Amino acid sequence: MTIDARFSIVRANFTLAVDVHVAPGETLAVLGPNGAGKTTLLRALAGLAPITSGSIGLDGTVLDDPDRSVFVPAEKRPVGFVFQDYLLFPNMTVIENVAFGLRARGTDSDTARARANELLEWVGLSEHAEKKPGQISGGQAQRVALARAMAVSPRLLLLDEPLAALDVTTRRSVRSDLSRLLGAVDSARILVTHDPRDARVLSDRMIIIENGRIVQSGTFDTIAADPATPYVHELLGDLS
Amino acid sequence: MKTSRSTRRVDDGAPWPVIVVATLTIVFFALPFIGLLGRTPWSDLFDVLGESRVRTALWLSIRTSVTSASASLLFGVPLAWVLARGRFPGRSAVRALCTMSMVLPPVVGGVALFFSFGRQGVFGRFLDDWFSFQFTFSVWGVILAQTFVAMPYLVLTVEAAIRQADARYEDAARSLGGSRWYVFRRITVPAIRPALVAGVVLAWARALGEFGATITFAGNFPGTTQTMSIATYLALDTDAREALVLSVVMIATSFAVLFGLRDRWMGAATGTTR
Repeated sequence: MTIDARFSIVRANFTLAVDVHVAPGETLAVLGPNGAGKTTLLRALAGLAPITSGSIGLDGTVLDDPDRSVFVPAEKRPVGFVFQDYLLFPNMTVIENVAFGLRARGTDSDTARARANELLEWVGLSEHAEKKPGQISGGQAQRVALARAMAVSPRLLLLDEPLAALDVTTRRSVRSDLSRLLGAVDSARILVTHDPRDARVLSDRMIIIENGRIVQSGTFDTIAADPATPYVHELLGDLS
Repeated sequence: MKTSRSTRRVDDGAPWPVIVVATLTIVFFALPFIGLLGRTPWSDLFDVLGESRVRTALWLSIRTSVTSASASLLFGVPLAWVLARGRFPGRSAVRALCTMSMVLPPVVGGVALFFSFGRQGVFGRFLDDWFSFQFTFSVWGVILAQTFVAMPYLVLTVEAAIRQADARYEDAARSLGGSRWYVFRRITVPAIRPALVAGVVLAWARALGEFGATITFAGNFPGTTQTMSIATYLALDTDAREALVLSVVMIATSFAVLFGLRDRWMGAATGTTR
């Protein structure tokens, strides 16, 4: 397994306790209602929220383990993060956004731009390289965010609600574009969504979180065939 | 003259007592300046400005206020960041301590500086003994007094902007491998640029107008510590024309700054980062 995480995060009025394993080239979808802890799970894996107990390992390297006093900060983890509403840096052009990770790691400007340009070609946006994030559409911004996250060759790619910021009319085509792009990524992938259609198209396996706990895991079909809770039944009822 | 009843009026929702009081308030602020401008010897303006005493005070004020504003930026931004993002006990007490000079009577600030950094002061005596360095009666005393009084304006402005900036952009930058310092330079600072501009200008304007702490701590030597504000005050006794001309210069500067700042200031206050 690429990612082996079994941990809990305890907050004042909320506890997240999960067990997550993903292999290279595999996409795990994380579904659940708002406030279930989906984003917190991604933030813990990225190193943006330290865990309370348990451990997170990536390719055999321990990233976070409070018992052994190990904590690798976000900037040192080989983890790419596509945030909800993408968070493209508004003061930089599209290509500068994509080159940011390489520049931050000390790559010289020309090499970083060349690599960023390759990634923009990969997502089909090289003609928008010099635009500012405010000048491109939501679907394009999502692909820029994916290119930016992939620029540093992460071994784990996290996607937080990558389709939630899009309107209904473009969602379907953006979803199939994303599916095609993710197929070309060989890192392990975790996709958070509240939409089971995203999970069905984009993932190999799913887990469903309610109130900070995993209530069911498996493929879309096995979960849909035998929903474990009323929420899961409601969620997948229309689609199976 | 009254507006004709037949004119189409769009009700903007302001109740009439509010409009009446607001108008009186505007008049209250306008009258002192009208009075001052009415007595200004406009024909002698450039003659008075050309006098060496005035020019010296003007030049000293420009030098010291720009230096104080720069020092406020250099030292104030890290303080603002710590106040906005740091998690440590007594943060509110630290903020109160570091911004107190904004609300204190400036004379009290000057007295405090005098007994700490003055020649006989608790810390100042060591500076004198070890380095033969004195703040009092030197241009460095003026800069210290101005920075002491002016920096809080920058700190509070920038702290508010850092609080309002979306910290998730910094998370995104860190997840891409940016060190804390790299993220601060490339993401945080550009995001709060309007507030930095507003803070520097406010601190500069406050430093330019500084009087009480400066005259108490640094003195009023022409050429070294006699700034425009001090020269204006002293000129009232000897040559009222000079006081009026110096006042006009400072009024024009302040108005231009606040008027020019308006949009940026509003942008910073509402957290707009673009």
